[in-house]
Amino acid sequence: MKPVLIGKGLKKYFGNVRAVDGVFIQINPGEVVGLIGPNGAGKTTLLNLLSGVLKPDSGEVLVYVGGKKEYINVAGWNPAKITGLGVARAFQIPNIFENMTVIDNLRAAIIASKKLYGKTLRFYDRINDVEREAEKLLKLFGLIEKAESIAGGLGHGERKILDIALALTVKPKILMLDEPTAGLSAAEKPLIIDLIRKLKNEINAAILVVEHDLDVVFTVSERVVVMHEGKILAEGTPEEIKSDIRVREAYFGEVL
Amino acid sequence: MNKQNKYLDPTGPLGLIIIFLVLALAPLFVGPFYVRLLAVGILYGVAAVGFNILFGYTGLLSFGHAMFWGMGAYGVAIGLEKFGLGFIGSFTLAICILLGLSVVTGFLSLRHTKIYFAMLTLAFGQLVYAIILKWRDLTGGDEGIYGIPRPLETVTNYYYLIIAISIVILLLIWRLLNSPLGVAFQTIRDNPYRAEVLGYPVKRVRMLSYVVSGLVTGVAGMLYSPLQGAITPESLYWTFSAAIVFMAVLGGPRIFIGPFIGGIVYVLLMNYAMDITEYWMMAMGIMLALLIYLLPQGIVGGIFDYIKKARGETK
Repeated sequence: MKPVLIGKGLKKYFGNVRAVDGVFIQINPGEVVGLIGPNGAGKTTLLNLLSGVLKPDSGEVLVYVGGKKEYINVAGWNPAKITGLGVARAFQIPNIFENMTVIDNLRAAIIASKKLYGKTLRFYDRINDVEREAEKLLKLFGLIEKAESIAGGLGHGERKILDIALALTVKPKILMLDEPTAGLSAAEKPLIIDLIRKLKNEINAAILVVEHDLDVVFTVSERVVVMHEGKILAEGTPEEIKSDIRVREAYFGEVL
Repeated sequence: MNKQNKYLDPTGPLGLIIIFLVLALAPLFVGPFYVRLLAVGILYGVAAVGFNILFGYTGLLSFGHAMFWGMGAYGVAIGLEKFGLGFIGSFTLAICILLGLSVVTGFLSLRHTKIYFAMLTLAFGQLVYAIILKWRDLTGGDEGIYGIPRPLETVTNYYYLIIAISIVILLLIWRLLNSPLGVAFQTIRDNPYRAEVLGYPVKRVRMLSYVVSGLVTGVAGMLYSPLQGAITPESLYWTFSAAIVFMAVLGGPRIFIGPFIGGIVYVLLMNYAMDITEYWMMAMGIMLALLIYLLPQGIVGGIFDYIKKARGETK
């Protein structure tokens, strides 16, 4: 199987800061990849390049589209168009529709992904396909009881979960999660770990997790990529990475 | 999920029907002065609902909606008085003016959002006001246009025509706002970035919302000049744009019928203030400020919050 997403020679400088400095990364179908690195390593910038939020100075972002062409270079495309090719992203700070109920958030996202927004003669909450999918997502994400709550009133963990659910409505080939456990209490973290595992089984998408919390990454990932100062420092299974001396140095300095 | 009949929504059709039943019975109990007052209130209400499509649902604050109201009113007045087009012809003329005006000002204003959008709409509103004020031959300048005929002759007959047209317009808007397009409006209000990433054509949807909003407010204005028999440039002045904003906030912009109630209450309050003092603007200001302090969600919003609390539901 061909990789669903390839970043090739990606570079992004902010003035003198080499945030991403010649990165090659590939994501295979269905795998869970953890992207880690100390503060300022360039993880979020890389994610922004891959999802179209930022335009790379140079390099390619290739999305697998099948057919003869196989890959399209989407570097510089806007996020909406990249999302349309099945590259979805959840956000570090939840990007949800605060004044709408949880289920209306999902309905709105499903309506967008099915391009039903021109159907002015229908009621938005009486479209069978949309309702079926919304209910499926509510169940998968454990949000059934909150369905009629206003999204802005949810706890931080639930908001993050809803944000991920919104990203899933486009039926992505690859789902990027930007620090899914940042800002969550110790009690909420297992919820996210469980969720990522469940997603891996239930949806047909690769998952790229950018995460600060190493325990979370080592628990959910099949492959871990370590960034340091804009470059890829190491890559391997969680066990390999845990025992890699360069990774320890990057995180804890050379004193160790 | 809750699958009760949507038409039984007290903040939607059911509420509207009840209000209009009361309004339809009013001429049996009050004199022509109050019938005319209520007619103005209904038209203000429709104008505020139109404004609220853009404000409450799409998250864009227009400070130029008096432009639509006034141009609807002037379009009909000019068609009837200056061109002798008859009612159908004059209404068609006004609709065409409104369409052109909303497309052009929408195209130019929607390059920005938030306060910049508000300032642009304010600027275009004042520009149109200045044109109407100075184009004396056509508009009568600051004197305005007088002697505009009224369909169905009496105020009470025309009042029922206004009610009939308003019900149809409001139900159509309600239907639109509860369609997938209405949801698109709301996603753009709450989070335009996410709406775009999910695949909504944000700019096109904003434009659509702007045009529909301007048209609705304009149609209310179209019905206004035959009711009063006269129209002056004041109806285009920016203070009336602010009044429309106020009606929507007063009634409750988060609830469909809120701005409609806001329009009617605004007119009744204004009349009451004029009755009690010649400094009626001051009295009006105090009453409006008090209402906002006491009911920050608007009158209708406040009532429904209270009902929810009484039922023990959480928000």
